[in-house]
Amino acid sequence: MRQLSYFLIGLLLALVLTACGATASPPTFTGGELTISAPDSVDAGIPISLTVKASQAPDGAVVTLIAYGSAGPRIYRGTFNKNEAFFTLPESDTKQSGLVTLVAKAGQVQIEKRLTLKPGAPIEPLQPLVGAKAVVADTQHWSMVVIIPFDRFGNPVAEGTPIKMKAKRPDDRLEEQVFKVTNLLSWWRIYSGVKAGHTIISGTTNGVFGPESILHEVPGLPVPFSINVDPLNLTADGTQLATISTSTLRDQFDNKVEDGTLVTFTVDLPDGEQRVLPAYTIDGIAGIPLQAPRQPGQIKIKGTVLSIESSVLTFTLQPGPAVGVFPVSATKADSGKAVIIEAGPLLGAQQQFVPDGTPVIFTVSDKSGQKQTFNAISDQGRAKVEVRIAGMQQGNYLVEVKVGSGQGFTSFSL
Amino acid sequence: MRSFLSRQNSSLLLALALAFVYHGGLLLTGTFKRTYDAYIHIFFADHYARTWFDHWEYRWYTGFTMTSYPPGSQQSIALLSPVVGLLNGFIIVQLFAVLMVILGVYRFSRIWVTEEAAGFAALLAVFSSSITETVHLFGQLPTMFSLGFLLNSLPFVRYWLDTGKRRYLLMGWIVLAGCTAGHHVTTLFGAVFFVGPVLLAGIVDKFRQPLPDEPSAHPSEVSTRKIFPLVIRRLRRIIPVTFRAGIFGIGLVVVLLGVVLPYWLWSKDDPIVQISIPHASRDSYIQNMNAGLVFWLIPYGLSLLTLPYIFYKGLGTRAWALTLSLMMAVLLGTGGTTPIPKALLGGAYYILTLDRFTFWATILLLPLLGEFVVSMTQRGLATYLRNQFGSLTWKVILLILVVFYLAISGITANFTQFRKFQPEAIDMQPIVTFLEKDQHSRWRFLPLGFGDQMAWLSAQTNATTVDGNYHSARRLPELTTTSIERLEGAKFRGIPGLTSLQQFLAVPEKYNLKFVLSNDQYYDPLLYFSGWHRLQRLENGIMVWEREDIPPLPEILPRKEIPIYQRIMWGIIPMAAIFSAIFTLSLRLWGHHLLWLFQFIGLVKFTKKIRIPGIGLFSRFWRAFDRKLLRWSTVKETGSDNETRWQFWRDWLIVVKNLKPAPPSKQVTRSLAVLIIIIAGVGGVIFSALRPASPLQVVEAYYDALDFRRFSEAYSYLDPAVRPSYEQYLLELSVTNGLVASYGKLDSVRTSLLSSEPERVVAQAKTVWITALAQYPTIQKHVLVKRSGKWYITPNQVDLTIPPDQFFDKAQVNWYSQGRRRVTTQTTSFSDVLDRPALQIMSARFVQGRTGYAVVGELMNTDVNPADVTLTAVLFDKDNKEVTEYNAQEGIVHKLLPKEITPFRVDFAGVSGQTLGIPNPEDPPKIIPSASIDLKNQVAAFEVYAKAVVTGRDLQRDTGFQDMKIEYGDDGLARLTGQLINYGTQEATIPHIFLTYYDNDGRVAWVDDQYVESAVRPQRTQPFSIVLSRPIETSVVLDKGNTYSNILSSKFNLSPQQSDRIELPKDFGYSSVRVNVHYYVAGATG
Repeated sequence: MRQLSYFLIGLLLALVLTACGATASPPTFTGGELTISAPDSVDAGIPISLTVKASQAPDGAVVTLIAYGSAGPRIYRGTFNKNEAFFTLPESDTKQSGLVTLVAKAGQVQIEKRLTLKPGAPIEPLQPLVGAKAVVADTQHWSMVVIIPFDRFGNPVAEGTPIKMKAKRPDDRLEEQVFKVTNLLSWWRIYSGVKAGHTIISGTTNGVFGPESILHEVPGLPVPFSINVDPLNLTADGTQLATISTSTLRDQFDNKVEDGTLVTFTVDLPDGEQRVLPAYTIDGIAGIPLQAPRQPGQIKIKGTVLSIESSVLTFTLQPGPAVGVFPVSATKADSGKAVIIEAGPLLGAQQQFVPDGTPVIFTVSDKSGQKQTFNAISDQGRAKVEVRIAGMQQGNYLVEVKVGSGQGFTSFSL
Repeated sequence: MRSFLSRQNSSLLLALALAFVYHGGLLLTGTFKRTYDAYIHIFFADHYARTWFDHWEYRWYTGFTMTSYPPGSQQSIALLSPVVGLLNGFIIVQLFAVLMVILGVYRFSRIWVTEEAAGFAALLAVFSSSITETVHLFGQLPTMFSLGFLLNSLPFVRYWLDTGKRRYLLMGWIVLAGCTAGHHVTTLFGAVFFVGPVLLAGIVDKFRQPLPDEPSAHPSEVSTRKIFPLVIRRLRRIIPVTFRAGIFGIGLVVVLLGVVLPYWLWSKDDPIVQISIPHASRDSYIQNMNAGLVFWLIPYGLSLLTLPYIFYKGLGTRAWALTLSLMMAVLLGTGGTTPIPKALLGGAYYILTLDRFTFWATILLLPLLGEFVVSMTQRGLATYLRNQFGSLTWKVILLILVVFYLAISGITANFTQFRKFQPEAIDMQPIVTFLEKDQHSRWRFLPLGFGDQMAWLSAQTNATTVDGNYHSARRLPELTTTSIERLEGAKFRGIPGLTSLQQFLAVPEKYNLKFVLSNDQYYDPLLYFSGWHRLQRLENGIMVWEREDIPPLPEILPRKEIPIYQRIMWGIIPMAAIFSAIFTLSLRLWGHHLLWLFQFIGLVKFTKKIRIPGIGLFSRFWRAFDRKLLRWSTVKETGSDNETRWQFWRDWLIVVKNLKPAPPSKQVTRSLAVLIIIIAGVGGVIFSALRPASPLQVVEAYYDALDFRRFSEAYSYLDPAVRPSYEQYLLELSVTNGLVASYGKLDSVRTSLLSSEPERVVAQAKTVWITALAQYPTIQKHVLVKRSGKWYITPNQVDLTIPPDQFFDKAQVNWYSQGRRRVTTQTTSFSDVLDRPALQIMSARFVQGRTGYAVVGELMNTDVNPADVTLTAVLFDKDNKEVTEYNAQEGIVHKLLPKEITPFRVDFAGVSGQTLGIPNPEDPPKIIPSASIDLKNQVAAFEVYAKAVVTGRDLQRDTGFQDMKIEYGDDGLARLTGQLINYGTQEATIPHIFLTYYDNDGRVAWVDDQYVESAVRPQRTQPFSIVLSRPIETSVVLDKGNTYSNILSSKFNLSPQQSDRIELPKDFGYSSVRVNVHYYVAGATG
């Protein structure tokens, strides 16, 4: 056991002594000049061989080469052999184009050299970027088309590279212009034309192509327009419909406005009431049904898009819903506690019942002229109201019933 | 094992077996899925299962710390979840908690009552309605989990007091540490209601128990000279036990603080400051009968009848301390029925839910309830009933009590089957899939109408929500400044709840809230008019709503860090405490084996050598002091040793006990008398319920029936002579749609008589409907007639108008947005991004109107594409510091057609940024009144920003105005009246009308809006009447502010004489008014 212990302690000591032993250090570069032998510019993406030379360097002295490029610093180590150290920058380190500063350092001496990695030729696709993507077709608004060509390593191509841009306008005109790459990109300020539609834009250079991009040239605000109504002989029955519509809304260059453009119709009725009816354009025309009012007379209609207004359309309604004089009766009910007033049949111009739901106004006047108004609605050509007599004075009462152009009368006594 | 079992109380074993079968069975059937709290604990467990040592939970409230709630029960589920899953993990832990409580009830009862009574107490606990309610209705896991430990710790406390053996002290502390790990509040209040009586009884028992070395006799006369030695004698008896109680108390505080130390540090650093959330347990149970049922009647169940006996029995026996504690808990559990709990609890009254006192009361009474059972079956009460009412009556009563006790428990367990507290179970998978796909989880979502299932959804996804289900962790001002409980159930909190929800929906970009998952159409109008649109309906029926133009969440979300030692403590100590407690409690099972092992390895010998420094010195001091006390307490014996009985009332009760047995005839008579009293009572209640109602009661009952969709009952209130057939009535109701009919909840009905005749009255019903948008008041006139002594409502006239066309067509424009590329999972490319629509803000003003401060103006979509608009107004003070900002919510048409103009009104009423501190919790405001906030002097400038994205959704514009005129009513107010006409093919379910008032310069002076009560069907009309605002009601605070949009404000100018404006009378003040309408279409998807 003791022997084993001595052996282990001895082994440990040997290990410690070995570890403490001095290692041989390489020769160091102590003085003299350094130069870097490398081309001034090289195409990106190929290996670069270069040499660092020293005036007096012991063989085996270490030299460090640092390449500061757009992808950050990269470090290479080499040793002098007959005053020269050879380096090869691999392809993977030369893909990013731009300026590379080479710094060689040996001992306390260092030297710099600049190397330009040139971008390659543009590759596909040449993608035109358009913004704004939609402009008003009035020759005043413009958009910008930008193409940023890249080489196979994703580097922006060289300044001055010609890019041909083509734009096919909605009116089939084809515009072509060549723009040189400046500050990494080529751009075209493209003004709108006068015809709304799609302008298709593309770019090419030296057999390199790309997809199309689209610029929407959209119509501007419409010019004043007119209003139509169909049919014109609408009866004031509170039910029938006529269609009011605009003429085709076009901008100053005769482009139809976009679908969905909001048009607000305002309608002035004979009794001073108003209607506001929104609609939107489909194929340049906005149209909505207009329900006949219950008062005959003249109607005025106007349309508005923002601040642009149409001409005023005026037409006259036929009498309705009821016409002429209709019968009215008054009978006591509920053990004499109420009077039922019934009007009807309420007939229209064609001797038909007025539409169900037509408002019927009953006015009951006493001998002093004091009036009470009761509202009812027609049902199957008739309407009735119940007048509770509690609180009413004794005497004669006159009843007047009105339904649009028609009216009826009766009286009762309490 | 068999010998161990044979040593146990057979009732206890039966109780444990029954509890396993009964509660285990119920849990397996999924009762916990319909409870309030179960999913919350499962969600917490899910957090621990995912990241045990991470204290921060991102998924709720934009993040909160998990150290805000003791983790014991939830970490237990998390430990089990990898093997059995979260749901089964919950079942196992909850069942464990129930069994622990049953065992604890037995052990706790043994302190106070006989073993027989304790056995009955355990059996009673199995079917206790309060335990059933807590487990199967409330899903309160931590309460049960920690209660089990608390009850089981109490015998150790008592042993420690009685014997002074340190191992009992240690065991008591360890088990209480397990209790604290599960729920600190149980330890805290348990110290008062459970530990307190044990300590008090322990001390008093010692006080009354002579020491072996003291003279047994009590002097018959107490002279002045004898007082001192007698006092010393009693003092000598209680000093050791009081000292032990003190040591225990100190250790209890250390345990309470130490086990969940991060919790206490959190509550100190980040105290809960929020408006009190109303809880029905604080209501008066007389006024709010539902609360009384759930929080008082059900928990007590049949034991209510036994309370007099329990108080009598408890106060007259050694359980008096328990009874006092019980009485206090009963009192506090009455909630707001009496002012006493509020007076006793002070500020805590608004934080605590008082039902927990009732729950504790029902546990505290179990030992004495066991005594009651013993008395009813074998002792005093059994004898009394047999003698006075006969054996048969006694048996029948016993049978009835048992049946009722079991029935109440069974009904309670299945209470949610009769009365829905939660929405139907939601299949979460489609939602989880939706949140996972297309990177939807990069935005926050908000569930609506999910109930407590929202926690279950959160447990299954990484997506985050602004809402949550753990109120103490809320810190967002929009939540803490109102009494809302959860956003998903905002409607249940009325106006304050909806106000809170509106703030999130109005400014969703603030919290990156993009998706709302709606399970309740009640919120549809609010969502729609706040600018949200329906994206899709998932397979489970959930409607997904989306808001455009919301930025995604940042890659790194903010979190509040705590020191690493706290995170380690939180992950280790609570579970260690629980395992230690279980180890301690189960020592009886295998402790002797362990002891043998320790002896074998010499640990016992080693521990005996350990001496705690100072103990010996203290013992010597105490022995010397005790000898002195003994000397001082010596009294010369004089005369009689008899004690004087001072509980004089017990002599009276002897009379009751010694009643002679009644003859059989009297027994029958008495039984019949009791039966008659019961029948008379029940009959009286039924008679009063069937009493003919007055006309006003009929009207109120009619509205109530309509509100709860009891249509056959509503129909029964209509006049049989003129009402339509029931089918026709239902048909007419079915075509009535709109804000009030389909999205309103009746809040109140006030009825009054307008005119009255003997057989006919005219009544007026003023109703207020709560909708997601606002309160909606209506006034209806009803004619009632009396037929056969009963009042009936004459049906109102229905709409008789018929549409002009039977079949018609309507052309429309549709838009669709898609990428110009093949289907791919890649993010949006440049070519897919459309230009933002060109907007122009026509004018903007900061004004004080009748509804508060607002920025009003007009905005125009000058683009050729429809726009989905977001408009923000920012207020600045004189130092150019931002006061607050808010979006136009309902006060704008968000989706605009090309060339459409919308007015806007950004309301600053109730915006949380304005609340300037937390109001008094005792007086929570229903809504924050903006008029009370002096913005006029505070705001020096304002800015308005408008932005939009192209949309193709919700652009229906097929409704217009007709026959509009301005009328002055009897009240002198001007009204714009007219009809809405729908010329489209879809029903305009909720029309929303805007009135834009212009001054003489044609600038916007004020903007009003109003929702129309009823829907407008195609080719139909719907009348409206809107009171016009007068200039006197508004004043301009700032005439101009900076406006920012992508079109210069001077590009398009409108003429003040635009033809779409209605001229107002010259003396009105405003020059003109413009009307426009947009509307919500139910059933459409975008």
